[in-house]
Amino acid sequence: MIRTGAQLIWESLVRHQVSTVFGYPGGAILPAYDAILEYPIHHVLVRHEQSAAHMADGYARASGKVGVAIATSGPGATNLVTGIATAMMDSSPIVCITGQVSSHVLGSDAFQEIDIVGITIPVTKYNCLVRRAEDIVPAIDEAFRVATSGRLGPVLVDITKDAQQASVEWNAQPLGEAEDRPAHRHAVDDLDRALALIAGAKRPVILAGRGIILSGACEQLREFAERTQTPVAMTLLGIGSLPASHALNLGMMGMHGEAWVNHAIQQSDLLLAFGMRFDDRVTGKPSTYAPLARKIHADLDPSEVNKIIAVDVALVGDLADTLDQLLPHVPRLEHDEWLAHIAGLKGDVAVKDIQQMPDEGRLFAAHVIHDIWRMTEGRAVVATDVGQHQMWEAQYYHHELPRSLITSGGLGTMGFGFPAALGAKLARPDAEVWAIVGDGGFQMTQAELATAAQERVKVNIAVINNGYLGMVRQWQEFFYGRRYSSTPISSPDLPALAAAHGLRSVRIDTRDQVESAIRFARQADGTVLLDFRVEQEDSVFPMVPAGAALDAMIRRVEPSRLVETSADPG
Amino acid sequence: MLVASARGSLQALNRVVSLLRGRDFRIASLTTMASEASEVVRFAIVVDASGTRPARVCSCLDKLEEVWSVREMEPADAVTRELAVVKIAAEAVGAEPIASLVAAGATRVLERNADTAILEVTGSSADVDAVVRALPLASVVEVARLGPMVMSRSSQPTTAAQPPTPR
Repeated sequence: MIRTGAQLIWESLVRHQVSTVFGYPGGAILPAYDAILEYPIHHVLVRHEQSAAHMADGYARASGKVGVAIATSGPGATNLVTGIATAMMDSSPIVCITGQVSSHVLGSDAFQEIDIVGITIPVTKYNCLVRRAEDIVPAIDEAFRVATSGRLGPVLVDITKDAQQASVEWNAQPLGEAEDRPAHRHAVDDLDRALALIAGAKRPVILAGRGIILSGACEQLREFAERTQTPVAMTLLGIGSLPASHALNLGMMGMHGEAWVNHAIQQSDLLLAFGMRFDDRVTGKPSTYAPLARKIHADLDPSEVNKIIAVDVALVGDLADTLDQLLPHVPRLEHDEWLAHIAGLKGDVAVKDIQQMPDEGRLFAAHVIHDIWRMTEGRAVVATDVGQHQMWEAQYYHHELPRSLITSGGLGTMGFGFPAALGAKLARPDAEVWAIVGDGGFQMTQAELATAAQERVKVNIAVINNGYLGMVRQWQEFFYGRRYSSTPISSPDLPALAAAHGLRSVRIDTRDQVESAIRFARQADGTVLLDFRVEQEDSVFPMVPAGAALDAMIRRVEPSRLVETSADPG
Repeated sequence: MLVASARGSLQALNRVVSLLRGRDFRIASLTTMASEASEVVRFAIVVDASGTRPARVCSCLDKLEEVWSVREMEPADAVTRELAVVKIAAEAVGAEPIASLVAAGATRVLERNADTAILEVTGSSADVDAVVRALPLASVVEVARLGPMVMSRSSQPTTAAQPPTPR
């Protein structure tokens, strides 16, 4: 049969079982937008291409499938870049398809021409320029293969307009069945050395990263932890890999990790780093990191081994495969003394039921997030932006399920949360989805309110509105003598803004209004915006200053109305 | 020394260079070579090991789709050859030390005109270094060096000449 290149784009996506794409049309991608009308693919019209990439990313993180973003050439393509880089840093599989000027004017500075392949080389796993219609299907097939193999990540396919317009003979071939990937067999010596370290450890800690979720190794993690009675510390992106309610789940480590978690890591004699990469926000000063610990690093990506922290044993391969090979040989162990010691570390700070903490009429972000957690029972999908609210979410929302925290960990992209929440909801329409965002980040992509309204997508938006770029303000408070340079930020009347889009909203100023507002949002049809006017100069504690040792944390000066920890009494 | 084979395209070269730059690797030299197959290009990369672990460069390069194979090579396991051409003032050719270098076969005169001559130097990088250093600085107009080309001494090809099976 004869197909245009534009039709072949959609033929390809249908073959890859793509049902939803996020994009914005323009001149160089017009043939594709004309052709989509013939295909069973839902196009979500975003208000800015950056959001298209974030929505595709949120879609991918929530579902485990590939997210697809579409843009035109020039500014449409460059607007994708932040979203692509976000996906790259967090190993999220997205495929971006961009239109390009016709091949006969390539390199002539034609209208809306930009070398997007060159621009995105550092932030994609792979990218390519397609100039012929007959190359479109192989290029998109390759894009999906690369995005979903090895360490996951973004791929960009740039297609010239004349390639979209050209017609070629095409015979639809079904995609071959994905071949079972043979498990990488670790060297017996490596496994034996790891097992010996595990058996001999008195104070082990598992460092659980996003690789556990990506490899589908949550069950193996739980089994390993329970069999060896090893406590589990979470990276930000590892949250959800073990239920927060599990007795061995310590909570989050790192710059804003729980104090006892960081102390436990620094005092441990064995770190089992599973699917994590020793990010600087996790280690603090590397030369002072876990000085007493031997280290086992199990990760898919060999370039992460010994990158930041030298390890004693490296097990490079898919984490589920690795744990499957280890588990039959892992003995049942007891670490009662160590677990009791960690419980003691919690003692002085693990206050405390924040429900019972007085607020004196003020509203604290911790209270808000705690209440969202309590009312959703830790089972909602929560997408966050970046900043203080992101850390409070990680501390106070106790995730019970994998793929339920969607946040920009590596790149730290403000503006990510709201569009990512929309993408997540479109991927998992039956899930309860919240966007917990700050007033700064939300304003970066608030135009997507129009997308939510047009698409009739139901997400609940909790704006933690403190009138500051809060995390930057906190750094200014701690390290720049409270000189609040360019961090006070005004917002529009957010309820009025929501109303202008035909969306409902509630402004919340006091603690006693929180629960009813959350209940209203959960019960209402359509997207609801909750504008939480929280304490303006609250800070996230503990905090490890950049470049300091992990246990050199800044703590609250005195017992606070807020807790230092997310733990419930128990 | 790392040796890699990759798809013979500007895109592949761009991606390799972008990675080396973006990761802030300390690279002493990067040589791009044609191979026996037109679609395959080879790279020889000399890593400054005082600031960068060659193994990490290797593992990062290995992740690139266009890079088909990459390996570290010990100097003893490979033949290394470099080419330099040097333009010098014509009157220097017959004088010492160039006359002796030519006589000893360390360099040869490729071309000579009234004003300048062009010398060719081949050998190991150390050989080329030695000859270039020996030339009287005042007579040297310009130097062009290709960088080290590397071939393993084993009976097997130095690097793979085709893409691997999908990773």
